[in-house]
Formats: sequence, structure tokens, C-alpha cells
Amino acid sequence: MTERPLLSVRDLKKHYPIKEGILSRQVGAARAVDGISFDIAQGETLGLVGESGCGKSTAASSIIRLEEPTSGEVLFNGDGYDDTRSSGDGTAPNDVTEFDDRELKSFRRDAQMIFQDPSSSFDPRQTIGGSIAELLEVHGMADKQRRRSITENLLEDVGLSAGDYHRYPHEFSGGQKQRIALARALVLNPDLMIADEPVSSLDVSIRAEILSLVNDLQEQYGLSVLFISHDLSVIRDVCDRVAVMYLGEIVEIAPTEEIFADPQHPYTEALLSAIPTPDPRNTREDIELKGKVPSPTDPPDGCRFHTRCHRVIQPDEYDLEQSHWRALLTFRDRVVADNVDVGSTRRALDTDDGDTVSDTKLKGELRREFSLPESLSDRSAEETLAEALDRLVDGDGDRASELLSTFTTPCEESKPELTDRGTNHQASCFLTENEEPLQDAADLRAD
Amino acid sequence: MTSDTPLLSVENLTTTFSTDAGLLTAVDDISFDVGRGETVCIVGESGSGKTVASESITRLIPSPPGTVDGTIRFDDRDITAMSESELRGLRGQNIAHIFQNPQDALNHCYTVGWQITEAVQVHEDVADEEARERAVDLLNRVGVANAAARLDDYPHEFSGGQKQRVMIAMALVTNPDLLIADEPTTALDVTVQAQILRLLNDLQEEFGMSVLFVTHDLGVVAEIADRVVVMYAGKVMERGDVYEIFESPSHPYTRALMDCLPGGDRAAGGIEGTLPNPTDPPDGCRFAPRCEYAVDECTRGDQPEEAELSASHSVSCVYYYGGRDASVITGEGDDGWSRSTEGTADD
Repeated sequence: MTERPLLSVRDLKKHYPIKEGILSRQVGAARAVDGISFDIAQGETLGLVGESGCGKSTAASSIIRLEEPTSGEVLFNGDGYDDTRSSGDGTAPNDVTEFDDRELKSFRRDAQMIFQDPSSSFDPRQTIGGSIAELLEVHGMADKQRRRSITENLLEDVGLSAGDYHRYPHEFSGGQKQRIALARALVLNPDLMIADEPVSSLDVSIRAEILSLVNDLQEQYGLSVLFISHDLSVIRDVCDRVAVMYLGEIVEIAPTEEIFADPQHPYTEALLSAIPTPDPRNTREDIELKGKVPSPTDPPDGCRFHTRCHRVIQPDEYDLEQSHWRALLTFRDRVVADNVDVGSTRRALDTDDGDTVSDTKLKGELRREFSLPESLSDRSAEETLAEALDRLVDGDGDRASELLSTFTTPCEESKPELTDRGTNHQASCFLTENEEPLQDAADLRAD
Repeated sequence: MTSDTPLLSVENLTTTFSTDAGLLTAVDDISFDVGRGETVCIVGESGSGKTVASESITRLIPSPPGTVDGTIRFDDRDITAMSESELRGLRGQNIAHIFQNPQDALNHCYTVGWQITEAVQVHEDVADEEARERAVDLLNRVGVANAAARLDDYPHEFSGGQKQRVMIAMALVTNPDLLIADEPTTALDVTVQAQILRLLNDLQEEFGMSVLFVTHDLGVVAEIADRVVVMYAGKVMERGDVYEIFESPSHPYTRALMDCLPGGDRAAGGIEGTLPNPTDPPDGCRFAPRCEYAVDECTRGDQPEEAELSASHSVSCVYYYGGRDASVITGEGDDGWSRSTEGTADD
């Protein structure tokens, strides 16, 4: 154990340019990974969780330089990587993003990756033994017998038999293929393994086997692991610490137990709540994350989660019920984006009772559709909303969005920074910054 | 909730495939029924025959090589005796299917709107205009935002969760009596999975559908099921209502599955061994070779008859016969699982 972390990621960014026109001028960028920083200590497992599209896989492939990161540093302190020697151009000599081809090849020996779909990561026409031993050959082991014996030993380590050396990928089940993928990742004795959703395509029982194998191998080989998953329940069994990612940013990072016991970001809270609990009597109201992750080409201002956050903050002048406030902001965003189809709502009501619907009924239906109450508890807010609904029904969407734009939340005005919430625990949310923990966090603790 | 005759009743269903390696029995003499408005879950590992069982109901099994035997009654009509054309009328009209991978079930070359309106027009003689309106309504109903505009989008422009919503919309075109959902959330994120499960629940209440839900995830089962059928290697291991299954799981396999859930005893361990070869299943209980409680008797004869533990709860295990002490399976001593569920209930 050295004191330095094995891997330090500093402000890593990966932006995909969006080009347009015959000159391919860059008109924007999809900010898939937008400034993430974390450390992984020797022998530690860090989980990276988030929904599809939040940039977790891009982060992984940028770290290992399967894709060129846009900016940032990835400092790797494996054996033989010396950060004291100067590289002459001012950059850290152990910065993966600055490696030349030769350095990169040797780095690829020390950092390995396994993927979600084991079937597509093997050559169907090569024996699995061949697939594994090939790595040894590429990295300079000329002795054929030795390659073979190392591979056979490794196959036994991952719970297969040496006799499987000559079999082909199609002869194995999904779980077995994932074992082979693990063997292949370990054959070069790496310091770091990046596992991208390694168990997501597997059955629960097989999943449990693979997770336990990852745990065992990690101990045996002293590996550091970056474990990527969308499922916090999987993370719980294998990770020491967890980083929660949303739309290219890390919103919370903490030891695993703390994430589960005391989530400090509403997004973490919502992810926890989405885990199905194996208890049919559990009638706890889940937090529903509506909609999908916004596009990274145009991320929301302020806190990127505010468009879906169930705890989005109200300005001082209002004291509405939280669900009403959320509904109001969702309605506002949809109207501003000109994304409310009054016509089809009207038609839907038409077919129900035969003649044209009254505006009152239509407005009621719109409120129902957006889970808005009959009347907001705050008088001035209600007046604005009613007026906006009138305009909307009259077909004047612009005026409606102007009116609704008067509703604003502090969450979109400035961006919360990652701040300390205890030992090793950081989160970026205004709500929990100076305050109590999220009140009913306790309800979310599954067990 | 259920009237006297169940909506769907499956008796002695056996589905076999003739393969080069011999006769493969994917589903072996199973029976279950689905009442009106009820959600029944078939749960088991990959390869346990749950998908084949669900597809045998509307004979989606290609034949040859598949052969479906047994009696399947739907709404008091015998499906097994129906001709292919009668079946076509039933599929989609009364029984709708949704599958695990929505991207495989949608046609990439046509817009989503085209595909839904086609489904509408196959079943009803309506004008294009009206079919399109129906499509918009359905998409609205399943929670696709801005439905009218999205109708002209192609499947690749939808996310996985939205594609599954589109599939559900297509399944709802005819207001089916029974929705067969085969792992509809397995390919989705947990958050999206939660959305889809909630949607299915809402739709079921609204339309009074029955749902036959196939999954390997007991967490999902707990969220939606009324009754549960646990399958292993083509046989039913245990069945019961959802509370019975979760509160007193009685078959070693059911218990093993539960222990595999995160937080369970086997959360990092899994079930030792693999499913038996379906062309040559072992004698006795199919689970015996992997069962930690197996005794000699388990490996003789056929799968044990199901022992009734209550009117709705039965289990196929020798421990429930001949005065054996089943408490070694359900025993209090090492009962880590039910302790933790009780913990949740108290929260």
C-alpha cells in the first residue's frame, strides 16, 4: 500500500463535437463527461452509478484512453510509474492522457476493462484459451508452454477448468463467458480493472456468483476496480465507495454504507428508491424519476438535476406543497419548450362525450395531466398559473410561457459545488448544504 | 377479484423440441391459471422454461421443431384445439405479448406511428385519420411525452424505456384481456424499470387486464405480483400468493433465489452448479443436484407431487411428505432472509 491513490482522475472532460453543414463547422458539443474528479486507492473498489446516458461508460473509456479525453488529467500510480521524474514538457509523467504509444501499450497492460455483453467481446472463431493467451503474446511472452499454463491456471481461478482451453465461446453460457472475460482481464496481472456493467445482462443467481468472484479475485490479485453499474443494489455488494453520476457530473461520492444510509443528494435518493424491494408488503411511496436524462448537448442551467428533482427548492415567496411546486416547474418547462399538445388533449376529451369541450374542462384536464392541483395554495402563484392556462387554451403559447417563466427556482440560478458532508462524503446540492439530512432518507433504507 | 373460472387455465402443458441431441423438454407437465384482473408472475433462472411456457399459450413456438401438448383454456375456449386462423384472431385481440427487447420487436424501417396505426387497422376497420388519433391517445396513455409529434419518429429515436412504452401501447390497441409480459424491464435501467412497472400497474387497474409476467427478478415480482409460480428446469417448484412466497418460501430453490438478492445470504455466492441438461433431466426432483438439503429420496422417481400448504400455496419437495421435518428448509435458526424482510416491514 502506498499513500498515493492508484488512480487520480482530475477534472476529466469528454465532449463530442456536433458538426453541421458542408464545412463541418462545430456548432456545439455533447458534454458526455463534464469535469469529473475522483481517486481510487490501491485495492479499492469504486462504484460509478447513474442512469443510461449519464456518461459513466464514456468516463471509463476516456480514463483508459479508448477515447481521447477532451481535457483533464488521469494520473496512474501503478508499479513503475514514477511521478517524480520530469517529462520535460510540464505535464505529469504519469498522466495517462499524455502517454505516447509506447507508454500507452504498457499502461494497457496494467489497466484492463471488461464489458457488459460478454458474447460480443470474444472472437467466435477463436478458442477461449487462444483469446486469453493472445494477450500474453502481444505483450511479449514468447514461451508458448508458459502462456498455456498461465491461461489454464487462470481458467481454474475463475471457476472453469483447464480443459476448457480449447472450447469456443458459443459453448459457454453468459455467466461463464463473463468468467472468461474476467480471466482475460487478469491474465496480464493488472493493477486496475474497469468493469462496465459486468453483470447487467445476467440472471440474479449468476449475477451473485460473478460478484463474489470479482470480490475474491480482487483480494487475490490486489486489484483496484472501477465498477460501473446503473443498479445501486449491485454496487452495494462489491464497492467500498460509490460515485453517483448525473449528466456528466459527479453529484455525490461517499463510502458505500453512507450512500445507502444517508444519501445527501436527491438523485441518489431517487436511485435508491428505484431498487425493487423483495417485500410485497412494502407500500412505501417510491420517488418517481419522471422523464429521462436531459440531452448533454444542452444541459440545464444550475444544478443539472433540477428539471427532474423531486426536492427542487422553492423561492422564499412561496410555500407550496412540494409535489405541486415540482408539477408547476415541469409544466413551465414543457410550455416553454412548446411541448404541450393542447389539440390532442382537446380531441381526447371530444371523443369521450361527443361535443366540443368547454375551456374549463380542458384546463382541468391539463391540470390533471401535469398533476397540478385544482388550485395552488399560494394566491399569486395560482393567479399566474390560471392566467397562463387561459392563454394556453386560447392558443397563445408564447404569452403562457412568459407568464410561467416568472416561476423560478434557486436550483437553476447557480450551480451547487461538491461540498463536504462528513468524512469522505461529498455532495452537490443546495438543499443539504447547510441543512439537516434529507428528512425521510430513513424510509429509503431498504433494510 | 377472480370469478369462478379463471381467464386462462393451463393444464399439463408440455413443450418439447426435437433437436440433434434428442428430445428437449423445455416445459414439462406444468399447470397454472390466471384469474381476471390478476397478475401472475412466472419466476426462474434463464433456461428454466418460463419463456417457452408463456409463448406456448398462444402457440408462438415454431413447429416443427416445437410440440405443445396439454390443455389451455382461455375464457372457456380451448386454445389447443383452435386452428391457426382462429389463433390469429385471439393473438393481439384478446392476448397481447410484450417482450424483453423492444428494439427487436419494432421495425426499424417504419415510423412508430405507422406501426401503431397498422396494429389498429389490423384489428379494426377504421380510417387512417382515426387510427392515427387512436395511436396518439395510446402513446399519451403510456406516458410518451408530446405524442402527436413523436408519431413520425423512427424507433431509433426513442430510448429503451420509451420503446418499451411504445410496445405496451401497441399491445393495448385492442384492449386485451390478457397481457403476457416476458421480462419487459430486464433490459432497462432501474429507474426506467420502476416507471414501466408503475405504468403496467396503472394500466391494469384502468383496463382490468390480467397480466402474466415472466421475470427472473424476485424484486420485481414483489412489486407487481398477486400470485407467483416458481419454475425450475421446466417444472413448477412452488406456487402461492405473493405474500406466501415471500414470507414463507418453502422450496429450497425459492429460498436460494431469494438469498441471491442483494442483501440476502447468497448475495455474493449465487447457487452452486447449473441447470440440468434439458434433453436428459435427472430423476426425482430437478433441483436435487444443486440442492443443499437433498436426500437420497430426492433423486428417485419423478418430480414430487405438489404438497398443499394452504389453499393457494403448494410446493414440490419431498420434505413435505412422509413426516419429514421441513423446518430444516424453512427453519428459524439460519433464517437470515425473513429476518431482513421483517426489518423492512417495520421501517
